Amino acid sequence: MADPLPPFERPDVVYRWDLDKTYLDTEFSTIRGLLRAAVESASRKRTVPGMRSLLVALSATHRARVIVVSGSPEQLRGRIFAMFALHGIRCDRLVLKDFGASLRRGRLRAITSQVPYKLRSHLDTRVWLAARDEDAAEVCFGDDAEVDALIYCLYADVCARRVSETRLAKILQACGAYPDDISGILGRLSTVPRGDPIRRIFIHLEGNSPPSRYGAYRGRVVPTFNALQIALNLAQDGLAEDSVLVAVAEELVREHRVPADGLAGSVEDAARRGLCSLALARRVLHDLLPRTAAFDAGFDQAFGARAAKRLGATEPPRAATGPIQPLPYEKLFEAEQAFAKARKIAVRTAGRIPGLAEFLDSSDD
Amino acid sequence: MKPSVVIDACSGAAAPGGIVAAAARMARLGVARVVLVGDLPMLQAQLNLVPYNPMTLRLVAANAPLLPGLSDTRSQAANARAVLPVAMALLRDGEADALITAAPQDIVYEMAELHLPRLPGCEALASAAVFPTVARSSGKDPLALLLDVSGKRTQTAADLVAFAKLGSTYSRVVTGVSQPSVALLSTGLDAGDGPPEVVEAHTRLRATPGVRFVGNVRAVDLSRGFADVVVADGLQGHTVRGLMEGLTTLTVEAARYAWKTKVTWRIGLRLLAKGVAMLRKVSEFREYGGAPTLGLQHLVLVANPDSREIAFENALKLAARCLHRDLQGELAKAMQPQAEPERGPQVRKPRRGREVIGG
Repeated sequence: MADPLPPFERPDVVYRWDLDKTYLDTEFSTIRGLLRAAVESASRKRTVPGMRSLLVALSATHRARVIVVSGSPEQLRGRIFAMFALHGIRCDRLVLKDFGASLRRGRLRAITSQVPYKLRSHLDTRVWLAARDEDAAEVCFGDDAEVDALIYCLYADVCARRVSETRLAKILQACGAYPDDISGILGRLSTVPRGDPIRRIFIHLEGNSPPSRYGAYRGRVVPTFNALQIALNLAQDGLAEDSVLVAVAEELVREHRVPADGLAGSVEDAARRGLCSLALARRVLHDLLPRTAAFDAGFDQAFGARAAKRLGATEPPRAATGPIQPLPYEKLFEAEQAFAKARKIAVRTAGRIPGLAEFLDSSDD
Repeated sequence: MKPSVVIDACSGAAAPGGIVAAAARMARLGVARVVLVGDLPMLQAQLNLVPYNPMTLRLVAANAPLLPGLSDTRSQAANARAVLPVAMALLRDGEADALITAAPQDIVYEMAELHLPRLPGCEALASAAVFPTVARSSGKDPLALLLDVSGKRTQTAADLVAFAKLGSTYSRVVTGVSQPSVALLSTGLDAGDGPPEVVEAHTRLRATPGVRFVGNVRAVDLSRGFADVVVADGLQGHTVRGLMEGLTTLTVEAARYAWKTKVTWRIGLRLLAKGVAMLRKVSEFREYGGAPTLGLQHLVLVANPDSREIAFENALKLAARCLHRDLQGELAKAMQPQAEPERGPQVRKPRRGREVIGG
């Protein structure tokens, strides 16, 4: 793997990203989507609205390492690096799945199973950072299509040694790991520096997930609907500046034609769900967004003032934070599997809502 | 850009969970952008349980004083009086294009009169309702329009004529019938039957361009499908609508009773299952997508207070269709004093029996 030299001595922060459905708008669950991802050029790859600007702006304002761990095939490495170069993002580590090796060894389960592969890759990149004497806080980005929330939480618990080796072995077994995968991961633990590097875990709600799906993670993950909500949450803790919010909002408006009420709705929702304070939401609605390209989408001072006024004065209750406890990973994995199955059925039947197709047809006349 | 529809999320039996679920689903499917108005913590709690997208679904606070879904009319009225002014302000400020509510119709009427501008030429508002009929010659839509059902006495013949224009335009735009037939609800079929304002309205409607007036219709003939639009005095219309809904409830209860009581009846119902489902589809007022309050510059759809989740989905589709086809623009044109007739007035011959059409 190429090992680009860092342009700075020590990073402030590590951004740890998943790729598909978190950064890239891909559909790997279908053969068609997989083929399309394989053949389309770097310039044609579609990103999840706002995510490109978010990562570019975050990288520009912080000394940041960008680590990408994805379940995409290794064969896409060249195209993905080319895409990041086009976007102006320096990707420090890109870990992709070696489908060929799994096939050669007849390990079909390894192709579909994400937990052992991703946990091992995260631990490897943690060791890579430690080898450079870097122990910056990490902000993780994943999505609800896979088990990213579980993987990131498990990674944090393993790094902090909140999960014993015996327990980890059981969890990995429950998640479909092969015995040598388990021993490989356990063997790495001695080289992983002790400590909890995870500052925040964002889960992009791409699929059919309600936010309550992540209640089982006891407040350790932040479910977000879009890049603007991520930026708001980071800004709330001083991890993102106004320039990040502006960049994301401008991409949403200019490239994805998000209307004024779409932006306002995202900010309001973030405030209601405690992702940011009312004061920050009010400032963004009243002062910041009307001065961006959102103005052209109808987000003028009057609209911003009305939206800010509607936020009210009562701060929504924030989840109480206590000492972090390991999660019931086996149960969570079962629930995630069940949800993935239900999601597949929902996606398959979405086009079959009685009368909807007729309605959509007739409203185009 | 998709139209924006504001929903009173504290009204009706489905509130708030059913309304929130329907709104979230329709917004995600791209039918419309939705704004839900109600008690924020309660709405957010419901929203957390369903997939949604805050870019297409917003919440706006209104201090609904009581829990929604309560069946007593005082609670419903109190909620409506708190929520509707906020929802209507969104329409006035241009932040939404249409309003859907399942609040009691008289409160909607009262709030609309207070908070929303009227169409020029409309002295009174007309609350509409749909009702099932046998197949009409105009098309496949099993539902005809009845207005006014507000429960208020309609004072003048001019109001009835205005209602005929509004109803005819609504029917044309929404159902696609090129020249909907319009009838007046009266006590008899002759031009001279009924109270003075109905008699006068009959005469004036015969000479009203753009309205295909087919004469009087009696309550007993409503479901026989002689007209696409039936214009009625608000009190009469209200009574007729209530009676129809009551009969539907009675029929459903009778079927339930039959299902529980005898095995043979149950088998009979099984054999008739398809037919019963079809009948239910057209007669189940709790699943209708609501009907408009006409005469306003904004689109206001009122669903039955007992509406289920599906009714709100249907109401959203209906609102999107009305906005897509510029219903409000067409209504404004129809109410212009010198509106050009699309075709001269025409009294249609009855399809079944001579007794139907009066005048």
